[in-house]
Amino acid sequence: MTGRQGNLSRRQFLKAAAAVTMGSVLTACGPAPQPTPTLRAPEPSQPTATPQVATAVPTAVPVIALDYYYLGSQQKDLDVVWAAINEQLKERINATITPHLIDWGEYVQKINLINASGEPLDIYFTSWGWTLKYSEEIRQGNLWAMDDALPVLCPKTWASMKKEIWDAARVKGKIYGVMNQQIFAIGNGIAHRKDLLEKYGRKAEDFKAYADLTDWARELKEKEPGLLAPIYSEKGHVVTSAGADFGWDNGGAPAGSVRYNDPNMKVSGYKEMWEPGADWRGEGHYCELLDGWYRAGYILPESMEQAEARAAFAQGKFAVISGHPIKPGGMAENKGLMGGVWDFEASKINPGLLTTSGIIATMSSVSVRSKDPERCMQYLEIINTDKDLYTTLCKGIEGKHWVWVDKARNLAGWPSGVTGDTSGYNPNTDWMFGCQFNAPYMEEASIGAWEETKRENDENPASNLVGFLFDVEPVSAEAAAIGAVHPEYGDLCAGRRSDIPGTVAEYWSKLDAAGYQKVADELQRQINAWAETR
Amino acid sequence: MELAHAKCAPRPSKRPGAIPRFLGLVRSNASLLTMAAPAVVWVVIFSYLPMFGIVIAFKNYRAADGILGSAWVGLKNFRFLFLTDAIWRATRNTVLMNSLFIITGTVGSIVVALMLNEVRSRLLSRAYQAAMFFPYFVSIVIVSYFVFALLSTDHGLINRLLVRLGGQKVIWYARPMAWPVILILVNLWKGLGVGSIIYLAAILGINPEFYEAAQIDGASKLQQIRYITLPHLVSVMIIMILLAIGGIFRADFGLFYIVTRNQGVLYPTTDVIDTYVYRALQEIAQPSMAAAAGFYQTIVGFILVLLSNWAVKKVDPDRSLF
Repeated sequence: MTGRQGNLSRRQFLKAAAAVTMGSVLTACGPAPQPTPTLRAPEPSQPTATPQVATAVPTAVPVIALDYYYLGSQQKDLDVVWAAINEQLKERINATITPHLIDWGEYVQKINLINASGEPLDIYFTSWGWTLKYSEEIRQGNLWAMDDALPVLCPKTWASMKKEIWDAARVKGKIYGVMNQQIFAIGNGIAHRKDLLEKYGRKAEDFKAYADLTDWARELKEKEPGLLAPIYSEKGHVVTSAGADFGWDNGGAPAGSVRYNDPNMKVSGYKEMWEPGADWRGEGHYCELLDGWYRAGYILPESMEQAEARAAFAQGKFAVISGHPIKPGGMAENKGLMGGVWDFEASKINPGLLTTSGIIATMSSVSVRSKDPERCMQYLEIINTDKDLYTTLCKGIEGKHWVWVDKARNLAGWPSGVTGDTSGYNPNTDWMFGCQFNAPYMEEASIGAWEETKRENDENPASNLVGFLFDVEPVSAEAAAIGAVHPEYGDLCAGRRSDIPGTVAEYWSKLDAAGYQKVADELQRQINAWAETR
Repeated sequence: MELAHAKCAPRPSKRPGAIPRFLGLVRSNASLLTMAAPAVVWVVIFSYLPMFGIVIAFKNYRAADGILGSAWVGLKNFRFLFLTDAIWRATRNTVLMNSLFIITGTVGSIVVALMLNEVRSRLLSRAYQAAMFFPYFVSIVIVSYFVFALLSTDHGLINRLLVRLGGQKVIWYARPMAWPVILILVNLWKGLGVGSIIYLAAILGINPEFYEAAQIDGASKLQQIRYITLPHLVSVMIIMILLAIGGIFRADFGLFYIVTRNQGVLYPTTDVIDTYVYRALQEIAQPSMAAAAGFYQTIVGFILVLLSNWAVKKVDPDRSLF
């Protein structure tokens, strides 16, 4: 180095360097940074110091703080709401909940980290697969088997759902989660922006098939230049694991599906799913339709992630969502999801099929490392049966975040000056916490939705495979290889390929190479074994 | 007759023992060692200690059993990688794109460093450096939106320009062949500022007497660069390239997943090992399989570093890394 000598003497330099080293080592050894969305409820005082007397619970039992992890967007008044809930819980079950609200995209990683590092975890949210996977958690040995405790500690919740529904959550005979009751048999359809429907004099009931959209999309494209594209098609409508739209149930397997009403429960492969089914249209038909829309410019050339699309909707850049889950009262929820600006009307295209994955879509599970699993079960019983507490958790504090509009009709609304967006607490995720039927309706249009939902759950066509969940362990390598193939062709139906039959053939040959048939055979074997035990 | 030298020859001084010698070395290099200490601590904690976790790749890891308690399964976790041909396409893309990144990055950084060296005004030179440094810190997600704004089919800048000039719109996100070029450009844009700093530092270290002598001899600017500057940079280049080769099997996930917006059509040229493993394990979520993929990447990278270092040693022993 050709630099000049510095002004510091050698000793001064050494001291400075030592200080820097110590400083950096100390910052590394400092307290671990709190995960950002975590909030800790105020530590409950020891029972001996508490002046109030708990009624049924002996004061000798110490108050436990249970760690409850779930997902959602940040809420300003989260700690206020939970403080109110914890007051009640402290009296009734001598426990409080320390809520950990994790952001949507980070939840799976966070829970994996917590399980791997052994951090305290009591109750957490699981699902069939759209976020943290229920079957994976069981496979990893993270969940506590609750079927013995359910009838004893959660009698009302246990009685509120049929035995067949509870069986859907059974893996190797044991139940590991409490289903949050909501729409189980959910069908897909079209959600239209109400203002545009009225502007062009159309009615949502007129749309009986996806093909009916083509005409309206043409009109929208001509007359509404402000739109990015008339239709937003939710990504992934290809022969993937889900085929419930077209009457197929895959039992949670990555390959192979069974026709929902097939008494023999014979596993079919991608070819059969492609062809139009006897009563519901097949994957191939929908694919051709999407391709036509793409060429006409009714859907965007590039696929868009859900979060981006929602933001675009709020700005008025789309008119219609195709392939959207349609449930009773869902359009009011939709309005909130898409920025609270537009009202939506729904056209139901496919009746909802009751499948295992639909039933276990949203569950609360207890960790095997929980400090007190029985106490967790008591909490789950309360939150699933106590309407007031559940409403507080879902909507916030009465008077501050919501008010009764018409208590007789179970209708609530926002306090004056507050909207869904400006409220300090509006998670809009009732299905995260417990039985959705216990909350009031927030929109006039939704009144009657809970009864309607129960009716659909009971009456909609049920797949013969309800109660069966595929165990992926024997074919995990093939499942991973297949999982890598699907996203490559996920946009097949959005017409971004010039040669559809050729691309489909390519897709199928890749699935074959990844071991599709082996997984399908394993699925058949497991289904047959399960059918014997029934 | 007694020889006088036996009494007159000076006794050889006793050679100090090993420990005092070591302490002496530490004392004379104290400032350098103290400066290196934080980095050494960091590397030991984050690179050496976790190496024991490599066994996860050979076990059926379950959080409930811990690392040591999980069952040993040998090579089973590697099966999913080599089940189909997809991994070879991913490997080819990874190695090819990384090699192109290394070549274009090195050439680009040197060119920029040479140009910065020629700037007379120090203020301007600092301004250029700051401006070029900036893209390195921009989040790759933001960069993906820049690229989308340029390449979007209906509303992107490039297509609108093409149409204005009388051409046809191009669906960039459906053209696999365009993306090696696009990704190289994005990578250059992001990395040139930081890469050039190292070469600029090396150039500033060259003794100006060389240049004066060359000017007296009548050498042109280009000749000076070719015969003086570049040879001095060769050592730095070799070190940088050898280090980059160590990571040649690991791709920049953000670049290949986020900037390409994960369009399946583009996978033939943009699917790399990292994105392939990510997709495969989205459903299965097995830490041991992810560890197996990581093992594959890093072991091959390690072997490549050893091989290239050995190759460099054969050519010029002074220039090798170790």
